[in-house]
Amino acid sequence: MKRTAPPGGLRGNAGAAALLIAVLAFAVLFPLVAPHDPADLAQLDLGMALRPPAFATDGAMPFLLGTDDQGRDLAASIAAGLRLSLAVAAGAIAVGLLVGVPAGLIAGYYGGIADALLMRLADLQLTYPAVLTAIVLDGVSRAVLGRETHAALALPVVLVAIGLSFWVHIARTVRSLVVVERSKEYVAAARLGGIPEYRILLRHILPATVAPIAALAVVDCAAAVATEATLGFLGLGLPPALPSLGTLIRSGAAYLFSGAWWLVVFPAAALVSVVLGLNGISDRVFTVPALEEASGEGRPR
Amino acid sequence: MTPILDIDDLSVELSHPAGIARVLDGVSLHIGRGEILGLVGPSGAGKSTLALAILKLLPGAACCPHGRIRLQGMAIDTLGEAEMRQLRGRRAALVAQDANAALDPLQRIDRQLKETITSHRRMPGGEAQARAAAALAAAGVDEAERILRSYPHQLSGGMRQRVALALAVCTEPALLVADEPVSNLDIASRALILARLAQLARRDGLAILLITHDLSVVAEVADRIAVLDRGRIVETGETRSLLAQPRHPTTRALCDGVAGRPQRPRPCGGAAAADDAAGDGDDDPRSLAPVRRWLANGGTARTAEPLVVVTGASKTFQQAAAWPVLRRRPVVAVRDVSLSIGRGEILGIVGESGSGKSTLGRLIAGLEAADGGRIVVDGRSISPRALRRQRQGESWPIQMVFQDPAASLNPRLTAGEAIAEMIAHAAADRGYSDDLTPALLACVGLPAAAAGKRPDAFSGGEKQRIVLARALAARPRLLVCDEPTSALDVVNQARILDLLGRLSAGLGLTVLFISHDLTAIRRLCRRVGVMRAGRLCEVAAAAELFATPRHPYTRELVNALRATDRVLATTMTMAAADDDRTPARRSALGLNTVVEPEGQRR
Repeated sequence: MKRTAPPGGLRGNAGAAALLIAVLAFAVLFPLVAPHDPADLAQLDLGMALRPPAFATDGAMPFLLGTDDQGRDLAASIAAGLRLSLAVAAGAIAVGLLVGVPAGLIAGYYGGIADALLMRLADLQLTYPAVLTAIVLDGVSRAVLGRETHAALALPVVLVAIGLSFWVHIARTVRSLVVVERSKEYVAAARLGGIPEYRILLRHILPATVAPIAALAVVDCAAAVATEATLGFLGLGLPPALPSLGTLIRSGAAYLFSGAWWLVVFPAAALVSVVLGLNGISDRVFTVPALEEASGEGRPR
Repeated sequence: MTPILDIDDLSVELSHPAGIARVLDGVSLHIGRGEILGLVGPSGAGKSTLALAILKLLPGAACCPHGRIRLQGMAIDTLGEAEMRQLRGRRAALVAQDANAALDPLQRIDRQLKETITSHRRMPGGEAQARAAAALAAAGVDEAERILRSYPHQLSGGMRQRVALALAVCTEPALLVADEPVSNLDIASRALILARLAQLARRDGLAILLITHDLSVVAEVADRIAVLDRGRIVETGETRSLLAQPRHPTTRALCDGVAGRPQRPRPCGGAAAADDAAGDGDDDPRSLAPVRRWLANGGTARTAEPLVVVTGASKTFQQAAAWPVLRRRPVVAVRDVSLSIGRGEILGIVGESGSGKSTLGRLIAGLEAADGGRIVVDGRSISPRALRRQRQGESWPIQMVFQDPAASLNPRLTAGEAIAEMIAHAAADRGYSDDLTPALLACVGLPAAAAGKRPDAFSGGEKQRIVLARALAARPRLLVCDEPTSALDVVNQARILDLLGRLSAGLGLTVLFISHDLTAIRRLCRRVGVMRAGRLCEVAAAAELFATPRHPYTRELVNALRATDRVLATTMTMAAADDDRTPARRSALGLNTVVEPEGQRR
């Protein structure tokens, strides 16, 4: 029997997938029709500052979602912010996987001291939240690197800061899967067959973790987008020259009470859509045929 | 009189993403008061679906397009979940194969029984306690007081199943659905449970639907037998007449699974096995020759000295402590076991679950290191140092076949990939030809096309064949088989046992065969060891062991086996005195060596 769909699942998944695709399409395609490049200061016109959205009273095209205090087109800024946020999230997850998967494999397969050390390290990591990791890393890098270098290194710092807060549960998930898989008889048979341990780990055990980890990575990606936005909102993330969704919300919040509501509402809506969409599709990642294939989940049981 | 259970033209369909599968198709049967109906069929026939349908416990994806189930005249298909909950337990109860799943591991037995009893009828605690004890007694538990105070994990497998039976009958249902109630049990526990089922039917008038894949189970206690195959009842009749003259091919296959090999009847144990084995090797020389060449290892000519010598092996596990400050409790799994296995010999080890037989197998295979004693296989000591070298990829003379064929194969590799991987590592020091994989598959009775498929395309029996082929691919001197047939239905059990016998004889392969199933051991092994509580009680030639068991525990096992044989023998002989096939089957059973005296006296 195939894995059954979660209750009420498919329709919700389809909705989430549609939302995600719409947001991604907007992020990628909007620059083609945008009135100007928000990163190019030369194209800005302060006379166009704080225009409301096109559909509101006083609003006018081409500024579909209005403009900010610098006369930047908000829609173009959101598209750029989305791309940046997603890139940061993907990079952070890559960092988390790079640390978490090997740690989980080693802890789960070898057990003993390696397991104890790695898992205590994971516990330690869990005692401070992602934001705190980021604050510490950010602060240290600012102090150590100085202002100029820090601006250049802001992106890797944010990637590592967010990524480090995700390796723990990736490692724990991998470890638990490996512990189950290791105890299966085919691993014993491979050992008796004289197959070296690294090969058993990579060829027999690692593939079993692919599908669950892919699902986890998608959920984490949503969380990473949110974390990045949090850091941006707190002013700890990327420099203002690289406006991500969080930075947009942060700068928009200042105008909330002066009537320029669109500066907060639209970036926030974009953020919510991405997080909802990613979370919504994550439980269907399992059923992607290639992953089923890889993990042998298609077997009857 | 209305029957207790009346099923009329029942069909059940399961919907899944790939479409709709009809699991049961027009099943009709009825069971009267005090009657035991045996429902037998190979795995996948729909037996368990029927059990669930009777209790209305089918999953949501199932639906019954037509047909009707009546319990004591009451149609259950219109009842809601609340009414069904009342009905389950009072009118119909279920005993399943896995007693572990039926019992709550965190509750003492008395609480579980009393909860069930009082949920159906309110009564004072003392009365409930008395009823709980009575239910245990009815299920064949002698020390009811001690068992009531125990937790499930403190009980043996057989005792747990008796408790599960008590849990089912404590509410005095009219119908008991027993789904493979004895399949996981050793032969002594099995006999006890079956006797209790018979008594519950005869004395208390309980109607029992006894579901099993094993005809010998129903032969012992059932009044009538219905044979289910692929969702249809293909044959039904009185136990005796049906066993004597099975008409449908499925029934015949099931009979043969119990009774012995259809083509080559062979007496148990004794000297005849040697001739038989020798003859078997030439069964199909074409398929075995390449494998024999592959296994043959230049230096090891056949000598008289044994392949495996175990002297005083012991293994103690440290049970994890519940709290860090508490002392760990050592559990002795194997104590001071000594044995030897000759080259080309099949040694059987029998014992109940927890007797340490699996641990002994893992020690000899080198999956665990022994704490004490010495294990030498093919002149090589299985020491911790040797184990470390083996972990680093040194070739190893032992392979294992495990109980669970599903877990024994990596679901992500095709059969061919799994076998080729083993070949590649075993062939580090010598070449091999590309047709070795097909040859290995052929010698376990699989077509070459099987190499391209993944485990999920195979049945349990076929998976076990692939496991065997993979084991042979590693060029073992010794094959340790740990319960290789326990997860299979009888038909496949018989085939795998015969295959093992044939491979051992044809390839000169030494086999350590570990099982709780004495009938399997009798079928395959010429020498048998009996283990209990970590000790090897007795090692003897099979013929001798079955004829004159010396150790009390062995005697207990053999007596239970004889009782089973007797039932089968009398059922088959008395009902079919004139059936010309009977002598062959009786000899196939090995009855002439062990049971005939009793059989003749009757």
